Amino acid sequence: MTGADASASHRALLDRLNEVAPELVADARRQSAVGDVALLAREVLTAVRDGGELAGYWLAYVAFAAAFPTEPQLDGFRRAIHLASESDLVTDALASIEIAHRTHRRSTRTIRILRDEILVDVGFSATHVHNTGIQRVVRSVLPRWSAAGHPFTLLAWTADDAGYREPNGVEQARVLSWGADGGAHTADSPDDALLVPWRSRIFLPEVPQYEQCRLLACVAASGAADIDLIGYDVIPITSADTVMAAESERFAIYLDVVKRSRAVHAISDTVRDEFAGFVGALSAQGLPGPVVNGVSLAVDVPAAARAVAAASVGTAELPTMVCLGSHEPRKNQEAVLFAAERLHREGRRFRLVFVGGGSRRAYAGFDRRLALLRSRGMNVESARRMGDDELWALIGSSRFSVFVSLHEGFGLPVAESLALGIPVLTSSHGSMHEIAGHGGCVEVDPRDDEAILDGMRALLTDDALHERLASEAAAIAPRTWDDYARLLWDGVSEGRRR
Amino acid sequence: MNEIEAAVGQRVTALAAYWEVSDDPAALADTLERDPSPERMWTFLAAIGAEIPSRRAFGHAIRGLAVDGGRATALALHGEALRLSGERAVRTIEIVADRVVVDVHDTVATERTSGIQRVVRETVRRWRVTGRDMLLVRWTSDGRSLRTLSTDESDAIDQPRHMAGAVDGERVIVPARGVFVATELVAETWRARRLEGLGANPAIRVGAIGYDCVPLTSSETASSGIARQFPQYLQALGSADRIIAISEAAGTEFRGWRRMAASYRERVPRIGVVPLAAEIAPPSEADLADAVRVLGASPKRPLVLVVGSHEPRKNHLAVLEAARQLWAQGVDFRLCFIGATSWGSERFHDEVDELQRKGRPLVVVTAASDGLLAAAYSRATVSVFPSLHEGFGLPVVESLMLGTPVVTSGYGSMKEIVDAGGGGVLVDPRDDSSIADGIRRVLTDRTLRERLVAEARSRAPRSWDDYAAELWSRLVEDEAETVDA
Repeated sequence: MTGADASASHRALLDRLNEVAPELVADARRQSAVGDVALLAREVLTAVRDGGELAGYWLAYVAFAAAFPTEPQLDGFRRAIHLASESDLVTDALASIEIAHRTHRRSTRTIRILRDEILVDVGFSATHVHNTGIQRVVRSVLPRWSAAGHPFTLLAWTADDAGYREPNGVEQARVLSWGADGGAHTADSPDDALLVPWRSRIFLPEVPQYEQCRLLACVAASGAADIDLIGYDVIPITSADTVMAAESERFAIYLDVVKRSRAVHAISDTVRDEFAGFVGALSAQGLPGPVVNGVSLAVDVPAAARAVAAASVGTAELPTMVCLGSHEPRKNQEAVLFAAERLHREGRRFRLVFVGGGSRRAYAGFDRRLALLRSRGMNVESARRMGDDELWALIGSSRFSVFVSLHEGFGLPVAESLALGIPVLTSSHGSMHEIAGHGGCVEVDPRDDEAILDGMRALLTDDALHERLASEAAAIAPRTWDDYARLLWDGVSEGRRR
Repeated sequence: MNEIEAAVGQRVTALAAYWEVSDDPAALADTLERDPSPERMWTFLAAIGAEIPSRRAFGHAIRGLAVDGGRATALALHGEALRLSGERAVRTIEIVADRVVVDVHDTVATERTSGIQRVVRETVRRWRVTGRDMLLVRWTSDGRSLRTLSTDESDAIDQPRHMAGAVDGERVIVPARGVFVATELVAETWRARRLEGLGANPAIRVGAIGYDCVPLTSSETASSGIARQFPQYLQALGSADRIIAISEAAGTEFRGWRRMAASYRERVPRIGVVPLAAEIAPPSEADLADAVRVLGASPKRPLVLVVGSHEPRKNHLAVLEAARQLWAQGVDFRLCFIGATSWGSERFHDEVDELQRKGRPLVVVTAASDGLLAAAYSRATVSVFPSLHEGFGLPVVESLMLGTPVVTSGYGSMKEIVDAGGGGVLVDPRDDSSIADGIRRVLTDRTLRERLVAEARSRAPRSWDDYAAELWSRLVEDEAETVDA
């Protein structure tokens, strides 16, 4: 380390201590230490130790390390301070960080405290152009909060996951005005200040990355900030056979954040019950766990979609069933195909269209099966992806939609089909059952092949039933994104003066 | 007739005998055509394939049944069996019905005596001695089939030993009807899949011992491997009929998980509780002498004992911090840890080294015989067990049984034990000062200590005999309705 580096990191540490000192050290003592890094460091540590509050240790750690700690790292720091003699206080505290967090000690990073704010972690949506499920929620809700004048601050993560940073202009736009321009991938600059939540509320509309979860659990456990999150589903735990083992593990680590959070805003009543189950298990480790609210997700298809769909009604040559959703075992496409094959053997005439992507592994066998069935005269096809207009037209021209997934947090294809006026064959449990409660659906047990077959046959052949369901679907008033954004803000801002 | 044909012929014969039809693949096929029930399909699949089918394979067969009928499905599977190669191709079967099949796969192959292995050994040993009608099994090395135990493996229930390179033999077990007991935590994907497959047979009732849900609810204290596998185990347990948890706290966890899983299952397991037992023989004179030598225990200085493996969940760094605080305040005691090094304990060992360099009276024993452990409990003034999360908390019970008070966590299974008869001081394990305070009180408040010792001594012991008998009745005999009380 050269002398110049040393003095730069020295200056940065002084800056960081100056930023946290007003939160931790009494004015008189602070003023007597002004400009003297060793003196100020001592004052901060002494104040934290005397205060005895875990949040104070957390903030001090961030100032010294220029990085957020994990719980074991914070414990080590706290115990080192507790134990140190007066003369070794600063040395011992730094040494404990040195053990835990070697790389950050000499950082020249500055920090900025965000106090008493609502902070929204958009680490993924800000830095990626990917736009399915969760990102669509993020990009639908936050612009509405912004338009409504709700005060909140967006956060992204530094590339080394040291902590939060401010998203740059492109990244902000990717969240707040999506659609104009997705933009290129971005990264943080090394000069970015670390943003430090303090007595604030962090809102997690995304599932954070693995490393970030450990840091967030510590933020919440220490009391430096509280955490609210959207609960999407618990599929990686309770349908572990349908995901990769690594995904289950990642989710278990995310549950460590959930466990320490203030509130979960679940996207359906079913998901609310699932998270409530998790919370119920926490008494065994002496934790109260978060409150769990149900805020049902919006289903808002654009007016253009309704127009295209309406114009396509009656255009199909054969009665058409459409099956939307990515190709994976959980979505149960094999059962749909199996039922359709039997319907075909019964001599029924229809067309079946699957729409959805997936891994090569997921659909290689499926495609072979489709080719075989086509060669036997069955009218079945599969589209990996489809433009919006084409998809809306397809749905509009379909007699009904089939979505008999084994497990969903919400079941968007069911709600979207209904919003376009199309009856749906769906699963009789969980969130899909919840949506079906509003009408327009035939419900079946997705593990019961006979039930799927019977339901499909009924929707295909029973015109009175079909007509009744279609008129039920037309009468449903779907929850709008405006409604969802408003209810979610009410939940997330609960108990905060603003 | 070649070897494979002979083996498949034996399976046909065995299934024909079980179904009481003539010894002929066509007769079996006709039976499945007449009665295409899931139960028959499962048994046919398992018997002719000489394996426990996965739920997925079973699902495919059921679909085949619906489209092609029983006869065609059966004959196709019979044909497949004849085309198999490798070990499974030449396996023969024994169909087991109306017996209790008990899986002791890990326990009979390891010399380790972890908590789970201890429970399995103590329980199965007693079931055996009391003449329960059961069949002990483990999985074949290809992870597909069940087999009975070798003599060595059978002996290993009583005499733990390491079993290298087990030989499977040709005969495998097909449980067609009855109870299957999963005594162990299943930490392998292949085994979870097969356990789930067993539960898919409507004529088999799977019952499991539920130890805890730590890898789900305390992932921060679980090693990476188990956090990855545990949901698959839970998935398999989803098809069980009942889970008997080892404490009320563990039962609470399994009920919470069940609620997480309930909305997407046609049925969920019933959950009951049979609290675990603990027995520990009082130490001999020789053991007590050993304790003096190994632990450096002396009558002059109180001994504070910490039993448990070194891993983050056991919270040993907090114990060290509490001890430092007390030593700094002039409280005199010797601190002794007994337990194996598990994972994530580097910092613990570093700090121990440092404290020893500073001359603090501190000793870490990584391997101790039962006798030495008993002597340590007896010699100790207090046991400290401030774990962050336990399914049971064995050291708490063991210490109390030998009349030594405990300082332990004020929630979950540990509180449950103390509440049932006293002898302990409850603390907040997430607060070092609370732990220190608990230890100090027991060491320095003579009235308190005497009361705790008296409470510990008057606790009603809970024996393994009790546990084994109750567990058998809850897992095997009880009507389902009485389990979920």
